[in-house]
Amino acid sequence: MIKICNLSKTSRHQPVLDNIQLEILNEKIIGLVGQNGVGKSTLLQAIAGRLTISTHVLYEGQPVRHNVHAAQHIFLLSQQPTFSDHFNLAQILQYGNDVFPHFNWVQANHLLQQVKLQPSYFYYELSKGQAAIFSFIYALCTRATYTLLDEPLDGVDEISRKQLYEILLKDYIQHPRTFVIASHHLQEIEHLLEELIILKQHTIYLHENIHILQQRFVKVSHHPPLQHQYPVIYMEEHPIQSFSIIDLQHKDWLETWAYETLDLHEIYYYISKGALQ
Amino acid sequence: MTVNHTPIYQQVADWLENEILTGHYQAHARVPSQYQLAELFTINPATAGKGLTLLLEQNILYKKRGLGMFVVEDAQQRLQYKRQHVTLTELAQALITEARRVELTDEALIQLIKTLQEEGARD
Repeated sequence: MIKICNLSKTSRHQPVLDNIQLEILNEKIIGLVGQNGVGKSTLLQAIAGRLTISTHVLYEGQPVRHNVHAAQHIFLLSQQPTFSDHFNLAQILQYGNDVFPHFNWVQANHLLQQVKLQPSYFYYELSKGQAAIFSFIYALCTRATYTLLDEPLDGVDEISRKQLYEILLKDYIQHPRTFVIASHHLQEIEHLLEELIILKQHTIYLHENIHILQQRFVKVSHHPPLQHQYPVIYMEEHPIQSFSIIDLQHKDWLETWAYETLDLHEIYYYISKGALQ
Repeated sequence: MTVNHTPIYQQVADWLENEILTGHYQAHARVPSQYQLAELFTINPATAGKGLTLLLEQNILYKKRGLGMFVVEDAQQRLQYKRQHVTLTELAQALITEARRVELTDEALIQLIKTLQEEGARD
């Protein structure tokens, strides 16, 4: 388990992360979403032990900062991977094999073949999309207990993205471990997820099982607008038919109402937009 | 692309119900595990598991420890009953509401259904 207590960070007197409390359990695929600049990447870097504030992040009870054991079991694929330009792909994989105890060398080579990347290529020779695909494969093959993916597959075509997420899911079924996937394209990954973390105003707005989320936030069509006592998180008024998104967390009054369930990305969209209303 | 707002676990349960209704999975047949379903539909195994749990709770499936989940003896009949009395009633209700909204008379609605049924019989 990874446990984060009172994690805060400021930059130029502005908050980047504000008092984060979070527990990440083993063997789950978790989505991490939030608008630009809300702190997603910083949070992932903190979990990976790369920041001084990483002392507030515990892996198996020990701070992840300067912790070799944690470094072998937590892998972060950052947005700008730091693979050396002087190594070819085979050498980069060899390095991964040396560092990560469960690195799957066979699968790495198999996947490279599948996406038509020669092991003799140098990293700097790859196009943006190819580099993203290679990094994704590398991350998958680390088999790290906690694999953190910061906006993976950016710049990769849609068909390849779909294929690679399918590969991730199959690999997860064979070898369960935790993935945290930060993405602006929730629609693309929501079917893979078990939990969702929403960051808002530099802190955890919500961390929940997705089935509970789908039972909790629902859409009610109505006319005229709903009265105030209902826990409305977002409302859109139109001349003929208005609708509200309602949080059922503490109430079950809606049992007699007709409502629609929502996809995860819609729930996230309305929560984000609701905050601006 | 069609938008389907039904939660994925419900879609899994619906799919399995349909397979049981059509007789693809008969009484005491073993249904796919949550991991097989997850691979089949490219969804999280926990989501597939929740779909199976829904049917377990409705006594459509039963569990044999270590062996998997199986179809209950009278699952097909019970699902038929449920679909006839609950699902069809809801659909008919929606149909009546829509017909009244567009001021279609009850007689015309019934005639419409009859016509469609006759066309269906010819196919």
